[in-house]
This record gives sequence, C-alpha cells and structure tokens, in this order.
Amino acid sequence: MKHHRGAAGRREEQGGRGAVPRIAVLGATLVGLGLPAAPARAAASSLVVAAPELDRDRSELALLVGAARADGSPARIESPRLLFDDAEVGTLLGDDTITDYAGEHPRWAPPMAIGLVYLWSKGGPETVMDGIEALFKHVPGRVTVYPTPYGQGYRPVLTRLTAARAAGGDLVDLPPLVGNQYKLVESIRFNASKLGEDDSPIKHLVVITDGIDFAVHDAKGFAELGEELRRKKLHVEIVWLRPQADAVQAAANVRALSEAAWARQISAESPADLRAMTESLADAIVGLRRLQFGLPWTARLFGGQKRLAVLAAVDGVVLKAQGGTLALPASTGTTVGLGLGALVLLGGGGLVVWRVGRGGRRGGHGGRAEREASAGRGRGATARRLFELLDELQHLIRIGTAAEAAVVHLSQKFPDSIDRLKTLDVQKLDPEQYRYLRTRAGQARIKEIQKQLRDSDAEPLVDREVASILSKAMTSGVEPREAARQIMARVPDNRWGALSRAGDQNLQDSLARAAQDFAPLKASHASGFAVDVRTALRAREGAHLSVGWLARASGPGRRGETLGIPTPSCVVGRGFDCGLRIGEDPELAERHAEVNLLGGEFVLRPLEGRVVLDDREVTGQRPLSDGAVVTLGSCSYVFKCVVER
Amino acid sequence: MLAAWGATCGRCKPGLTYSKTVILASVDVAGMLPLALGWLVVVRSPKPALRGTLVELSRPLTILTRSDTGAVEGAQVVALDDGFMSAAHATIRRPAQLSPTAAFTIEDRRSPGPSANGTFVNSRKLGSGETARLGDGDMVRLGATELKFKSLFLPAAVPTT
Repeated sequence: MKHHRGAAGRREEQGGRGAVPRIAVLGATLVGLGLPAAPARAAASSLVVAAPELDRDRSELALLVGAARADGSPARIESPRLLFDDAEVGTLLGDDTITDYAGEHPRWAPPMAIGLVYLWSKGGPETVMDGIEALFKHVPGRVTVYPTPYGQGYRPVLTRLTAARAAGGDLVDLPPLVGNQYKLVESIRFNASKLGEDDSPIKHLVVITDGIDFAVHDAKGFAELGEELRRKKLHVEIVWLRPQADAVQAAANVRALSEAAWARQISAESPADLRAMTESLADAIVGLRRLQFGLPWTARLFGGQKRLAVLAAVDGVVLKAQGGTLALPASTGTTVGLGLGALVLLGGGGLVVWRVGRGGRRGGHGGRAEREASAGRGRGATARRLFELLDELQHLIRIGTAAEAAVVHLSQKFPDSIDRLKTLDVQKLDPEQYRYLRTRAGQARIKEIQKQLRDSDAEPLVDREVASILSKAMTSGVEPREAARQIMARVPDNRWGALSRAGDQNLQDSLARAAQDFAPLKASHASGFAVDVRTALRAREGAHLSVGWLARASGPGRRGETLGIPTPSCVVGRGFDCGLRIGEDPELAERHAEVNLLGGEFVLRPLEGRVVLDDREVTGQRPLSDGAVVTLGSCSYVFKCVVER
Repeated sequence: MLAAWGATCGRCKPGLTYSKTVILASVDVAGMLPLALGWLVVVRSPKPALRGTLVELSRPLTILTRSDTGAVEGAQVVALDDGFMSAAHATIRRPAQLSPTAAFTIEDRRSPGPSANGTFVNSRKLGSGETARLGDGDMVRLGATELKFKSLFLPAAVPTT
C-alpha cells in the first residue's frame, strides 16, 4: 500500500500540465461543495464551485463545478458563466468531467479526497465488493482515498480497492480502531477526523454498511454526528442494507443523520441491489465538471482581489454559486502607460456591460437531464457519455443536419466517445427512447455518418495543410488557440473535426510522419503544441443559441417583414412595454401573447388575445417549431428559428 | 416519412421551404405577390457579440464581407468583422423567378480571384466559379464565421369567392 505523500507534494503535482506548472491559488477561500453557508439548500437544486486554478500566464481559470438536487443526486449544468465581482468575464473554453480531464492529463490530480467507511458485521456479500471495486474504478487516479474497513472479513475490501486503484492514486493506510467492539458511529468519526485533515477542497465520505448499527434508539446521536460531518464540510453518501430487525428505527436514524449532514442516502432492500447502488455513487463523486474559462487580458494586466462566482442553469433554474476570493497577481509587464491602462479599462467595462445586457437567462433542459440521469444511473460515466452522444445524434438527425456537419459537431462535443458510433448497431438501441434513430431515414443518416468517420480515418490526421499551419505557428510563436482558429478557417470541417477527436497516440504518430517534410514539427515541444491545438479545436463557444423571428404572411403591415423575437422572454402586443411591439394591427391586444425560451426551445402562450397556431386556437403554452403559422389579431406570421445546442 | 418528423434529407431538400400551413390570404389580393424570404443567423464568429445576429436578406444581392467598405448600389453589404474572411468574400442571390423550386444561391468571390480561405456550404468547399443552391437550414462557413441559412416561400394570394 502506498503512503500518504502529504498535501504539499500533491499540490505541486496537480499544478503540472506538461512542462508548465500552474500556480496554486492561495488564499482562495472556498465554499465547500454542497455546503453553501446560505440556506439555499431548501431550493430544488444547489450549485457549487470549488478549487479555482489559474494558468501560469493567468489567461485561463479552471474551476470545478457541480450541481445536486435536494436528494443529493447530481444534476446537469448548462450555460455556465463566470463572474468577477458580479460582472461577467471570460469565455468558456473547456468543459470536461473530471474523469475525462484526468484521463487526458496524467499529471493533474483532482483536488479531492475520499473517505470510505465499510462496516459489515458478518462478512460483506460479493455484490458489495463488486460495487466498491466498480465505484473506485470511476474515481480518477491520484485522488487520495482513506479506507476504514471494519467487521468480519474486511480484507477483501482492501484488495478490491487496491485493484481498482492500480492505475495510481494515494490509498492512505489508516490504523484500525483499538478494541473489539467496532461501531459504525466510531468508525465514521475516526475516518472523518483523518479525512478532515486532508487539505483537498472537496472531500467525500462514503459509508457502506449492513445497517445493523443503525437499528438503535439514538436518533439524537446520529443527528449530532451529521452536524459534525457537515461542519467538517464533508459530502456524505450512505449506502445501507435494511436490517431484518428494527428496520423502521434504522430508517429514522439514517434520516436523522443524512438530514443533519445534508447527505445522500440509498437503502437497499436486498444484497442483490448493492452493486448498482454502490457504483451509482460515482455520479455524485466524479459527476463534477471542470470548466475552463479564458480571462480577459484586462484582468491579467491589473490583477487584484476578485470575488468569484459562477452562474449556471440547473434543471432549468439559474443558480449562482460563490467561489470565494481569488487573488489575481498583476501582470509583470505593468510598464504599460497609465493612459493606455485607463483606456483598456474603459474598453473592458463596456464589453462587460454589453455582455451582461445580452446574456439573459437561458433555460436548461430539465426533462432531458432527468432522463439522461435515469438512463445513466448506475451505469457509470462512460456509458452516460454514450447516452448523451446518442441523444445528441438523435437531435441532430431530427433537425435534418447534414452528415458532415453532424460529424464535426459530435467530434467537438464527444471527442472521446464518437469512435463508438462506427460500430453502433441501431437494432440494439431502446426502441422507445431512440425511435428516430431506428426509422429507415435515421438509419440511412447513421450509415452516412459512419462512412464519414471511416473515410476521415483513412486520411492522414496531420496533412500538408495542417502541418504547414502548425509549423508556421510554431516558428513564429503564435499561440495554440490562434493556430486552431487558422486551422478551423482554412481546412475543411471534416478534416479538423478528425483532428479534434484524435487520440494522443494517433496524433503523435501522424505528427511524426508530417515532420519528415516540415522540420519545425521535429522539435520536442511540437507534440505538446499539437495537443494544445487539439484542445482548442474542441472548445465550443457558449453552449446554446436560440434565435427566433416572425415573418408576416398576411394582414396589415408589410408582407414578408421580419420581426425579431427578443430572448429569453418577450411579450407580443400593441403596448409600448412589449418586447415585440406591433403597431400596425388594430385587432392586437396591448399584451397579446408571450414567447419564452424553455430549455432552449421557443414556446408560445396567449395572454390577452386570441392565438391560432397552425389552424388551431391555443389556450395554454405550446411549443413553436420552425415553419409554424401563428395568427395574432388580424395578421398571420410564420415562425422561423435557429436553435443550436 | 421524412416529412413526418419535420426534416428532409440533405439531397432532396427544397430550396425554399413552405410554412407548415401554406398561407393563402383571401383579403387584399392586389399586391400579394409571391415572396422568397431568406435569413442568415451567425452561429459562430470570432466576435462573440455577433453570435446570434439575425441578418435579413432584404435585397436581390447580398455581399458578405470582412469589414464595412461602404454601400454598393442595389446590394446589401453585411460586414462580419472576421479577420479570416476576404473582402467581398461571398455573394448570395435571391431567386429571380419566384416559384417554390427556386432557391437562394451562394458563390465565392469571382474577382479579383477566389477568397483566401474559401466558402463552405455544409462542410463542402465551393469550387471556383461554382454557384451552390442554399436550402433551409444549410450551414455556410466563411473564414471563422459560421452562418445558418433559413428560407421561406410565401405563395401569391389566391382570391376566394
């Protein structure tokens, strides 16, 4: 078993990305994950931000962001935005799950630690052992794990843990409790005291037990324990088997503990459920996303203390999470004249105001996220990624995206799982959930996409055009992001799409072949540069885009006139306060109807006037699709929209 | 079947889409000529502020260019503020004949020679002098800017009794 290398050592290691060390942000006080001081927990979901990490040249800030529903299950985060002192800054460059990110960056250590309390009085069933192994296979390497296994036959737990952690990671050996009465409460306290000393900003305590120790009359004691755990800022997850005797008392105690600790608890009725339930904890533990924001150079230049916050839609509700204070060191190049500095500041301020004004509220895909979560629960992160990919594929095919465009979009969004489409067998998919993929037209489009993928595999990744852009960029000191922009602008989409989904090994090999003709690519830092370019190719600008407008088809006013619909919400009518004011139509009410964005899609709802949608009068909220005919007052309009996800 | 789920395949896409319910107005028949409407929406741009911009193709000729170079007689000039675009990078023409089979067309710059980085329609690069038909929902890429093309055909009003 490995020893604990200590906090300082880990911090340095986590800072390394390639040869460029990251500066650990000192003094960044953190509001722990899931533990905001505000009583926002009562709301449906909570959003949390942790572990800000600055790039060495201070151009990028990475954050871990997670969202949870009231029951502790993870929720999907959409349209995240970064705020400094309540003003929006930066652009989203990267959005990865921490598992994906850790897989791609072997030197990055996720800033988290996990405590495992295992207590099974008469030897745990095999399903629980399998569950533990499966759970820890999802946890990225280099996460410190503190195991506290007790009870008869606890040794298999350690072997399974070690097997799952063979990829590398700290497994801290805790001395066993003294005495022969091993109690759950003592075990949890002991593990929490050790875990509490770890300096990682995110700490999870996983309790897996047969539940016998819960069946005592001590609800108050459990509530106190819960309080303690919460004060230590631990995220507690409990998986327990309902004991035969006193199951009601046990349930009451678990409730007392989990309510006080804001814990997530899953109870199993039979040992057979334990494997899936234990593995499903991985959702909450590694369901965190690592968001990477590019900072404006004004922030870099002036530095200073910034209050950090992240705004994001969780299940359709926009939430804000405080991320503590960030000390941004001022640029070393502060020799820039003050006059210029003031100008820059003004420019930056103007930009911020503009973006805030435009930003608006974007809804989330509540229902969609729910479905994904239920589809992916217990099946692990990789499987969940594949479901997300299939959902996206189905959406693209439904809206009639050309195969080439679909491949590019999917390559950017799912670089690690798109290759699995090559062997996708549509017949094996859930006929209800993926019915569009199973139609004849859907299958034909999938075949086209598969052909595209195979064709682009046959061509060299780094062809002459890409190689010449890369080598020119390297010799003239152009940044990887700029080189990526040049590639996107000059090379056909399917070519750079292939580059964006390329694996490390393929990229290296192809680069080595291209280096025979392009000498600069022989340099030792060429592969690092190419990897950075690939990362930049994957970066997607703001996740959603919803633009809708009405074209007048008949009635008073100019026929064919385009009337833009302001987002995210707008009232259509004759009134002066309407977002979309139509003055020509006397039959229109002051506030006739409203058009809102719901999960990125447009919906229409009548307010004071009569609304006919596609020849049918509507009274409630109805979705608007491209080409729909809307009659408001005496005019008919055709609704057109572009919705990009 | 394709129509049933609101989409068409890339090849059999009509140039101009009808609205789901064809508009046949019975009033004010005079002046009700068929109309071909086209729009571009900026989906990707090096200037984040331009993202989501709706451009109505209001003239017979629309010139997409990198930066504003002043008005052109009879044409609409759209400056997309993209360093990877060329001056007068591409031209979009409204169909001269108004029928549902007509389509807006796009072509890369002809003079003085093709644009530096080319014009792409749905990931396919246009050849020199090639004129491509644009269908509703097609993606147009010029330099680092991506635009989504949308179109609509409003038929002439038919007088009813």
